[in-house]
Amino acid sequence: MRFHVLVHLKPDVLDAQGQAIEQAIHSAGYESVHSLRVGKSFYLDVDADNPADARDEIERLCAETLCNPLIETFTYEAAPA
Amino acid sequence: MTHATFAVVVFPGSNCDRDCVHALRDELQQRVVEVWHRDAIPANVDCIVIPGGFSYGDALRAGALAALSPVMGSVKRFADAGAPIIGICNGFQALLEAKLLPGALLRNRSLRFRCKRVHVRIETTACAFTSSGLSIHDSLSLPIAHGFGAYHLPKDQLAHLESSGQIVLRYCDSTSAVTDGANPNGSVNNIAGVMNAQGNMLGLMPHPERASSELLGGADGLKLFRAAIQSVSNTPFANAPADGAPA
Amino acid sequence: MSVAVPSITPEVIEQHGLTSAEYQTILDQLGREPTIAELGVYSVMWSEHCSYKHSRRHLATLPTSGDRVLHGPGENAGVIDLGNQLACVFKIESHNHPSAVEPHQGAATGVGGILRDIFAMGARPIALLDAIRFGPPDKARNEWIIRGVVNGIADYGNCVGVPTVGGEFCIDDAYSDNCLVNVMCVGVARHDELMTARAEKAGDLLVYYGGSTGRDGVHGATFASMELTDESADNRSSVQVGDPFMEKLILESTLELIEHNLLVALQDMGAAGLTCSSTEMADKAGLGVDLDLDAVPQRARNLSAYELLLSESQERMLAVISPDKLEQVRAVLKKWDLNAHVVGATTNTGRLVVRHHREVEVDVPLDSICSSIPAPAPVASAPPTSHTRHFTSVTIADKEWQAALLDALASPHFASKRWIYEQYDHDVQTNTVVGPGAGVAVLRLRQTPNRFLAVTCDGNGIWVALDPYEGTRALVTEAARNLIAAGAVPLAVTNNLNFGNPRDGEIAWQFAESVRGLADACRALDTPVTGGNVSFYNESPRMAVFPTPVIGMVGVIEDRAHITPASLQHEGDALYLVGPRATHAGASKILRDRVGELVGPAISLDMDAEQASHALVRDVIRAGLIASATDISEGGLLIALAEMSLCSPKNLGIEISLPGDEDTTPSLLSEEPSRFILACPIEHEEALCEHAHRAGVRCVRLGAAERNDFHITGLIDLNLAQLREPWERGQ
Repeated sequence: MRFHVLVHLKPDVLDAQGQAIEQAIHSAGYESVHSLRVGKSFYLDVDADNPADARDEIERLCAETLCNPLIETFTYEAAPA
Repeated sequence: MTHATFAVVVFPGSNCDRDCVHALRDELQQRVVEVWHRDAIPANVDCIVIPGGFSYGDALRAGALAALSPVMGSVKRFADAGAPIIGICNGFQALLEAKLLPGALLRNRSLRFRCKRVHVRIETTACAFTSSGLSIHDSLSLPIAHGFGAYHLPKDQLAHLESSGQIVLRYCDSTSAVTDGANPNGSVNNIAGVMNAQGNMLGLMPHPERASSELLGGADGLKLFRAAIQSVSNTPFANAPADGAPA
Repeated sequence: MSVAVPSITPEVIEQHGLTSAEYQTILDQLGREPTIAELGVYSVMWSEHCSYKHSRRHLATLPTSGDRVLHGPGENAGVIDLGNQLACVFKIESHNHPSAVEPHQGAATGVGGILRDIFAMGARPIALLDAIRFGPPDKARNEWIIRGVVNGIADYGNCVGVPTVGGEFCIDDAYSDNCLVNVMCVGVARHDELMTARAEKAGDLLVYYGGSTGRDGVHGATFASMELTDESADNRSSVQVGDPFMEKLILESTLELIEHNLLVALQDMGAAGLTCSSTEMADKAGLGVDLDLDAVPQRARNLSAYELLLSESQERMLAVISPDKLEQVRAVLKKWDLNAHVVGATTNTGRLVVRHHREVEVDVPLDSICSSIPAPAPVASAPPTSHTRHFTSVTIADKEWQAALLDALASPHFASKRWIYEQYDHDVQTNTVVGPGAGVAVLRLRQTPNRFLAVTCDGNGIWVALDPYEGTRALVTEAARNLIAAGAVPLAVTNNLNFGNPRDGEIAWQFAESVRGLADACRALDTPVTGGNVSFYNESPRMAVFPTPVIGMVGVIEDRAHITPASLQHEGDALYLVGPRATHAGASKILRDRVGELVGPAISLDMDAEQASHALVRDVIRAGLIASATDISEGGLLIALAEMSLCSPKNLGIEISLPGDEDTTPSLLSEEPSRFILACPIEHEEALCEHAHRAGVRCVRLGAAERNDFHITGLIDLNLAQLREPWERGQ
């Protein structure tokens, strides 16, 4: 099963990169764009007998490795193969 | 001169390992073994250094993949046994990612890698690396070189860290004043180094091994290592079970 | 083959950068039409980048040997003896065209390439220097290129853990359409660790390790040998992407393989990739090569033989090993999570034979691609008709000097470079005794106590544009002056020659004159040229860059006490100007920036006066008479004094008067060679003057180092804070 995982800095953690990009695109004329956050995107395949097992595995991987829970949050969804 | 045996851990992408070996072996005449990340720390080791660099190319997060290396299990056992352990720069990041120290390191506020000399102020002498030869509010001149050095901790945990006295070093100016201007990376409360609750493990962003000779502009970094050597000779921790790692 | 094979039309031949005469030579040598893969092989091997076909006639005149030279040009990098069984391996290389198209990756892969050249020789790289030139950053595109290049250098060098300890940063409109990115690397090895790129015998294995092969950079080498046009901005597939982590793995594993004596020869797969590395190693030994492309690790699907042979994917090494060492080689590589791929073998056929999917795709004589490259018809060299057409005589009135200085310090060219070098890890490896911000980097040699390496790189397009011969001579001596002022003995040179289209008569003349100047100066200073790089076609439809040779020079400091800083160290030290009288301010960068054109006359060099100044400065430093020393070069006395003050760790400035026998403008701005400023503690003044008198070198007392002031009688009255403000703001 294929999954797409997104990891972002938590809303209360300063995203210096996102802030810089937002400032730059404002000065380039995209003034209506705001609340920009930079994140990481992962595509991965999981071998599992059923979707529930696959999701358990993904949850564990995200919580323990792909994401540092002190500063980051994650979301994931099934992705087309 | 007292002697200790240091292990310097090497990950793929470590690039300050040789500098740490040099400072300890040639400047301080200590015994040093280099330990590859797949191996365990040998039983006769007194102190451990997790050096700087770009372990695994900083893939995922700085230090995140090093934290998964086999050697980290034995680092933890040595930590529990009370051995002095120091994580420098990328080594600090690895200890945080391994949850052996509290906190996380974010991208520098300036978004730029910064390499320069800074001053840091000693905040506690309850740490194995500051417990002798140094006093509270002494300042050290040490080089930094990092892109992800902004120390971060959620507010409640930060308050606990402050009150428990686990902050070992803060960025300061040349007069030991802790100011915004002296903060090179946006670290919360100017934090440059923290320790575990027992005080035997220190993680810091500056590079003490680079401040190891007057020829290189100063030798303040050696003071931290000397204190650790002293602490080992005062109270050798309970190490050396026969299987190669302390129980 | 499954893929449709493009037929070889005149258009295809032209796209491969081959002339019809060159194509005819290929037909003659093969006795048949080449396959498309063969055409690709000839095209890259005969490109300027690999063959030096336009330049080798001139480069052959350079002095390349000397007592200290262990390897001159022809290896991956030059090697000189440092004594005590230690060798210094060093080279400079350009990545101009890739950096103009994708600044970050272009510069990063430039760093990667030069590092591999150094460790392929068995040396651990200990320092990087970058000579980088751009158009003014007030144009958005230039600004984008500058940030990208600085960032690319930082990302790559920092990650691999090789300190970037110095270099040059030049801003001039001449580089608006074509930036120059030259990277120099210095490494150190024991003599018995030195490696070569020369196979030994037939039957040895070709082992590929490092990154996998993709389509990136297919035709990068020919791309680097063409002018940039507007379309080339769309040519992004030609730009390679760097992986510094992989570089670190192949660096450490390579040094380990060499330490265990497991390799016969080694070369990185850089320009022209697998083709160039395999054939050069074999050709040097008069052997042949069989390659099996199916064994090449591939990261893209359906790569053709053409692409596999020409790919310039980064971080790939090709070793020649004896078959009985294969298992040991595998074991070392495995430790670093790398695989050994046996992609071929050396043969005694004298031919390059390449198989892909069991079919022979290439079968050509090796010497036809490596050594018997048809020399292009020499271009009739055409000196410019009027040498003085751009020359303007400019002076600055007394009351304007203060503003002129502050303006210059605020310009990105002269402003503090701290914003750049703070992004470079310049301390890693803990050898950096004098780091960036000074003209010279000084590194300790851990293997030999009390012996230091001094390294500099210098270019000056204005000097060379005004007179390629005199300008290049002056440049070589400028590099030597930098080393001498730091307390070093200059030993050897590497060079990066950045020019426009060599088929243009005036550029052909500039190149020939410049190389003649390089040869003469290196011969006179006894600093042989051990290697280098030629970069042509640095031009756009609008203009060519200034002819810009960049000199990388290495020297040795024989005693810690000889290390001499450029910045002011003690209040009250007397300031002396040593060397000939300034006669004109032609070639001045400050005047060029004020009036926007070249200001003549060209500078010229009196080699006897130059060597007399060198000897004096060397002697007084060795006699312990000098606290600080710098040479006078770009920006003249004015900028030299400002930098001595701004970099002073003790906030010291100057209180001086100009020599009575010089006019003000030349006195402050002249970039004429052979001149130094020395700071001398007052107790040694008499001895200094005696030395100068005996040497017959002019030595004029200007004044003294003063706390916090920057004062030139009748012209400038500032304090250091006022001086520092524009310098720090302009960065």
